[in-house]
Amino acid sequence: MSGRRQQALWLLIFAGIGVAAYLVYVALDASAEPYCSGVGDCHKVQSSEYAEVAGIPLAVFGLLMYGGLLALRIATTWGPLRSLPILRAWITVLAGSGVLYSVYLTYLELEVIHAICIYCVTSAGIVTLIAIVSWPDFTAARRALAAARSA
Amino acid sequence: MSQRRPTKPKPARPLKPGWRYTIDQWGGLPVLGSVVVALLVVGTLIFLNRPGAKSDPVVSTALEGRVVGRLHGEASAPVTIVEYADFQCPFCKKWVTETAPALAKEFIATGQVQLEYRYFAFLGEESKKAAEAAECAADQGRFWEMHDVLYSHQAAENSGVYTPANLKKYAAEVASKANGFDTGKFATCLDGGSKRALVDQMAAQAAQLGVSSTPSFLVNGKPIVGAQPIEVFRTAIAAAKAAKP
Repeated sequence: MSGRRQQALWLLIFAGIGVAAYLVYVALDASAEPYCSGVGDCHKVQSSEYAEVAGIPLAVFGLLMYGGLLALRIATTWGPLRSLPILRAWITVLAGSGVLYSVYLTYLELEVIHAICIYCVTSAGIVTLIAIVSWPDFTAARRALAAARSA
Repeated sequence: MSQRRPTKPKPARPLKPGWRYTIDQWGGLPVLGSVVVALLVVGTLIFLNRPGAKSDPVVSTALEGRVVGRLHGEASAPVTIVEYADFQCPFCKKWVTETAPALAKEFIATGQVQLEYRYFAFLGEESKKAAEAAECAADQGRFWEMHDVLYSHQAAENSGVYTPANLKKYAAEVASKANGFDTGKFATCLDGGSKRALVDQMAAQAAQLGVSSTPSFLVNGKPIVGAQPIEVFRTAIAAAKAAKP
């Protein structure tokens, strides 16, 4: 549990919340055009039919995921449940599912929509880093649980 | 694992390799279960968002989402007229030049009618390309400007009037009339071909509704076929208003 790695996790989660919150804002406010800074075509991606599932903008799912990560991060740092190994494992599991879905969404952007949304790609990068950075916690949690089971 | 007491006669769980052992090594059901749940959630989201999954609703959401650019008039108007037209169709142009101005003046400007233009691009490749160009202009809020420019250039069917190169020239015409029209963005949109799906969907939907020629109109759902004069629309609009509760 290097302190630097734990700090990086905090930072990444807050960065992810920032990006996802911006995407939610753009998705919900029809008059807001994503500020694209010349890279990619956020508008095309955000206005595509793939930008929502069951009427809910995907950005909302992203924000919920980062919110979940933050909640787990808080729970594993303070409070009565902080030493529960499963909560640490869940951070990686949640981030890992984010990575999987981001891979699929990036595939959609490249192959189906033919446009790249820089914020979506940034979010994909952040969640991938979270999964990588939290991996040692996952391994440790898995070992602790395994030891508890065979003890 | 080394904490197992030697006095214990049997281990609580078999420690030889096996599925149960593997599960335990991975932290048991809480870990594997959450992995499975996560995979299920991701799988469901991918399944719901797979290409083609929304092929039916897409027609409606695509229409609803994009339609704003092809509307003329107030949303509160009691009568809605849907126009199905092809930029290459001579009778569509005839209606646009002969009937549409009167309709706009009498009914649209007065808040009685909202007109919605839909592509029924059935006269060949140039029809589709022209419709795509109009939709690309609609992205920048310039559908009607492009609509007028396209009809003004109409010539014999598929005679090379609506080639991508020409359509970009027409976009420059739109830009000269409309401030802030980005011809580069338009060219990217047109060359990308992303509007083809919507144009095809609209044609398919129109065909399903029984539209077989252009122009065709639905006045609050009741059909009018052909480049009819304003009198026909006056009657139909009056009937539509009377039928409203």
